Amino acid sequence: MTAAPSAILLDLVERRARRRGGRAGRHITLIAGIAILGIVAAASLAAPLITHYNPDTLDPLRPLAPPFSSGHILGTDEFGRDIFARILYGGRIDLLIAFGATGVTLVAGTAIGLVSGYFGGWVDAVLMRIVDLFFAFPFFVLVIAIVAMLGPSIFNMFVAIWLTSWISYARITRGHTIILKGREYVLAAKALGYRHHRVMLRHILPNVVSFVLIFAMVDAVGNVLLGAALGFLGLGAKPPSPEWGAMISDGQNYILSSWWLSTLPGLAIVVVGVGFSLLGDGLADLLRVGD
Amino acid sequence: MARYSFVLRRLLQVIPVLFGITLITFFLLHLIPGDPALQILGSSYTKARGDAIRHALGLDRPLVRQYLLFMQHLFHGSVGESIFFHEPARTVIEERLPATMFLIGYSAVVATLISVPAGIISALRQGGIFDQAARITTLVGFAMPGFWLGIIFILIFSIHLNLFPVNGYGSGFVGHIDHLFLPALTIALAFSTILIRTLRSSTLAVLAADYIDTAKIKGISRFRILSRHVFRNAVVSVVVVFGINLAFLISGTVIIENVFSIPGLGSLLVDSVSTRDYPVVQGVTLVFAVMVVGINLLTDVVHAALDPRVVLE
Amino acid sequence: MSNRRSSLRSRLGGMARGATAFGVVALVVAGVAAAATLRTTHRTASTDTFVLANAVKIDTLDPEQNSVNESIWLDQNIYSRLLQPNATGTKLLPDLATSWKVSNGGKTYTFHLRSAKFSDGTPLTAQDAAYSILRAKALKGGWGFLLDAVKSITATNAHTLVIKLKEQHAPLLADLAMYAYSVLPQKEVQASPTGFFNKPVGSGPFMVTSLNKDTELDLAANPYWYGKKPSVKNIKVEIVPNDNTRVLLLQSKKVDAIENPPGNLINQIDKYPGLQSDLFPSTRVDFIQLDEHFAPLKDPNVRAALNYGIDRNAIVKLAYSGHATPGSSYMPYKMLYWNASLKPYPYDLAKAKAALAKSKYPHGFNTYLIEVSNDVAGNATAVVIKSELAKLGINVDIRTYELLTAYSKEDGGHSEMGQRYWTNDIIDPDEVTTFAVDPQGGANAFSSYWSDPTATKLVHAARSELNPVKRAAMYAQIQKIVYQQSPFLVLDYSPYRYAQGKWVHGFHVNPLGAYNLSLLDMTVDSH
Repeated sequence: MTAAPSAILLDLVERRARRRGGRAGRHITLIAGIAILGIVAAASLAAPLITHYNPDTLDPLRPLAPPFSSGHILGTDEFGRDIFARILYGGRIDLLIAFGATGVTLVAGTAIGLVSGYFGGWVDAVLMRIVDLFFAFPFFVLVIAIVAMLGPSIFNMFVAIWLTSWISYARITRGHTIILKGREYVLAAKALGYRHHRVMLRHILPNVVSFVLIFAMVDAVGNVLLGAALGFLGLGAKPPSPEWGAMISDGQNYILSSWWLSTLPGLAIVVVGVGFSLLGDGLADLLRVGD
Repeated sequence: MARYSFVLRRLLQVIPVLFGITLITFFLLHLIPGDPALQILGSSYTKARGDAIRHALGLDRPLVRQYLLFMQHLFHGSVGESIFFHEPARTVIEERLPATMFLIGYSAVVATLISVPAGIISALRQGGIFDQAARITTLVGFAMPGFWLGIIFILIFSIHLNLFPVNGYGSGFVGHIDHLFLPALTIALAFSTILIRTLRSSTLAVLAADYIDTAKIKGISRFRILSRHVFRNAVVSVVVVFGINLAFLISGTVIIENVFSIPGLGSLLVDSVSTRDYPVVQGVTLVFAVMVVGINLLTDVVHAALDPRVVLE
Repeated sequence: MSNRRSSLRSRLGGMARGATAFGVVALVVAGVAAAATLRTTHRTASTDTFVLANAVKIDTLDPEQNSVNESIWLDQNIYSRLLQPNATGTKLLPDLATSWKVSNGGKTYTFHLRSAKFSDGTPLTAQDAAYSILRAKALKGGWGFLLDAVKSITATNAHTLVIKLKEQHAPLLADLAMYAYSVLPQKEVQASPTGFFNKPVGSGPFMVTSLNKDTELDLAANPYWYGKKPSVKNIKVEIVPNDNTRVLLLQSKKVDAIENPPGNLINQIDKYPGLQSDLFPSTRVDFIQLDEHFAPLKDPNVRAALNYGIDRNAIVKLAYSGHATPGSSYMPYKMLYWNASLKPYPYDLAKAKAALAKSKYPHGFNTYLIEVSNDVAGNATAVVIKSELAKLGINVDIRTYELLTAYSKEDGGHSEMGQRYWTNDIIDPDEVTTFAVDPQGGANAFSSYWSDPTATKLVHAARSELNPVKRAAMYAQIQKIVYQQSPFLVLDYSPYRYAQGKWVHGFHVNPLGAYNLSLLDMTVDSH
């Protein structure tokens, strides 16, 4: 339900997009995004090759070592665990959260939004009231309940995210679907007798996807940050997991004395965030019109 | 006005939603292990004392009966007495509501002031330095958690520069503006990320379309049409993005409230779940639900008002 | 085309630039205006006000209902009790009761009350005392169980209170010194049972001038206070939940003292000019609960292995930055009748392995440890324990739960290892011993379900033994038995952490957490 210019303009935009092919130079943002994420993923998968430190090994003799000291590039945390190693290994978990949690909600939410916006009527009413129900239910109560009952873990974080994040996608998709379903080419497609799912998937979805992707890129990073927020509340990943969000929240007491505990994993999230944002913009440019 | 007839229909549909929420909250709360007796007694808990407290609070009655009693009280405008504060839950919530509303409204305003110019400029100078810088800045503001950003702001602006108070809500409208500036800024920065990109994206679409149709459109008035489009996009985007994220925002302010010691609903909710203060949790959840459903409806109305082609059901 | 495009752009650009300029200027103006003109000048630090930043909001100022420690400590500045603990928590001092006589074989106590007034000028009578104590005693699930031995409480005249017991009860005076038995004005409480506590009236050194449970409590010196007049006339208690924010407030001198600075910042605070940290001995004992229903933990050899296999010094260093004391006796550090001859189990891997070899589990076993999320020291402790016990082949799975969930899983007899702690509410050892040792005490020996017949007999005997020398010997013996059998693992004693400006003199917290006595002697320099 983001802004949409007037119908004429958007139609012309689309015709223009079909006239132009893609140009390699225009895809620099896409490539940059993929590159950054690729490097992060590769580094975390290859962590044992990059650092000899184990993310869980305690070193009571060298707690809170600053970066570039005692053989630890990024320093150590309050237990003497090497931060660089923890960031690398933690990348696996956080990329999993970014892709896994977001991917599922993206697909599910978009599907529901498409159906709801396309069919309208009571289908839309029921689905949207369910959305309202999930939407209006305070997220943290749900998370606290899940975590209190099942214990903290990455998987339970996934469940909490799945249960609550799909609604944003549903609403964005529904909003655009409602606008688009009144368009000539959609009406034409229906008049031609195309089945509903074909109209939805071939005619409406491609125009909605760019808006959904923009949101998804931010959402992916947000899901990773959720780990930090949950950790702050004591509901985060199980210790001694090197999940970045948990590292950030564990380090909050040390912000004033040993800033690197929270800041460095935070920077890791920023890097991943930049990667996602470039990826999102690149994809959006690819699917929309370049200039 | 027939377009707005959906408002009435939606208002009616709100009732089962709210009912569903009280039901889910109630049973979910009681599913969570632990109860108020544990919180009250702490390390000097014995089963005898715990049972006595549970009995005094009516928690040993069958769940369904407790729920019916709760609904009965609700129809008389009360959610019960706060187990933690020993005063009506309603009073507790009413005292915290203004701070949250002020903070959210303030954050929306600051976010708008930041994002609208930034988003438009980013689109105009697409790929330029400002565009990249805006993207990185907001990403940092978004990716660094609130408690980190908040503490840094306090360090710089409150302690070193002594520009703003460190914490609290202040008194009087002016006091609120003063005390809540840093918290609102912290929240606004996070939202600016999505806002700026949305505005940038839709402004780009407008510009591209304009470029295509330069031949067809003549005269100066098209600027007014286009700028109206751009600003219309801007307003709708801000409203919609805030609307979508409002639920997360309200409960998400808990971290900001903690860092800046603001007595708001977010931290009340989290604290009350932690202490199993059932009446307060029920009350706050209901208040949230009403706010969120209301904003939902408002967002749809605004969208309909600004975009005549939107068909609402 | 490009001309029109750029002219279009430039016009739109012009509009947007205008909008930007407006937006930026608006933002800056708002910020600067707020800063420069709206901001009240920095609070003048006056020497008759003491500003304390607490970490937890106030639940209530009704002493019978308090569940939050910080509120309990605030209560003690507002109300008085018959007696009160001294600064080291080892003796009782008169408060409202200036003298008392024990007669009838220790079963009748006659208290003589001073002529005191409440902060609104009304006289405090023995009837108010009787009412308040009976009120708190009657609260379901409250502290009445401490006074189970009490048969009757009567005010024979305005200044005499007589308490009759069913049997001898050594802890009686300590029980009466407890915060829950603060004296309230009967008439006013009965007239407005809930409203009274929004603006309570007590006979303590300070009275409430304004209360906002989430943000601030303001106290002013009670004009009718019967004791030493404090030089500090006003007390402001601010509620600041975030640890870092509290420290920043102290560093910028906006507050005079803060509670609970993060342990890792203690050294930093001490190095900061004008600030100092305070580590006040407390009655807190951190221990690992061992549920005997889990077979390995029932075996005394396993428990011995655990004791020798955990390095308490490492825990003190990593979890408390060195600011704690390794634990020995189950009783809080240096409390009344604390057995100083017991030393903490030393870390001895060889002894631990030998003990384990004698048990049914020589190669170790799998178990889990319940810990509380958000408990920084506790989490660190769990990590250390896990890594150390792994050397014995004991694989500890750390299960983190939020506080009340953890408690509910630790009680009930279905758990294995769990993190717990204890703090005293009274200075008498009977309370902690009842919870830790007495199988009929209601806590199942800190949820271990352990018991020892000799110890149990001693506990009951000590409860009614009025001779202090004999009592001390009994408790020494009980502590030894518990130490040897270790139904739970006593880890450490951690102090109360506070930080203050050096411009504050005389701030002192007693082992029960109260600082009301120190407020009478406190002075605050200009700063």
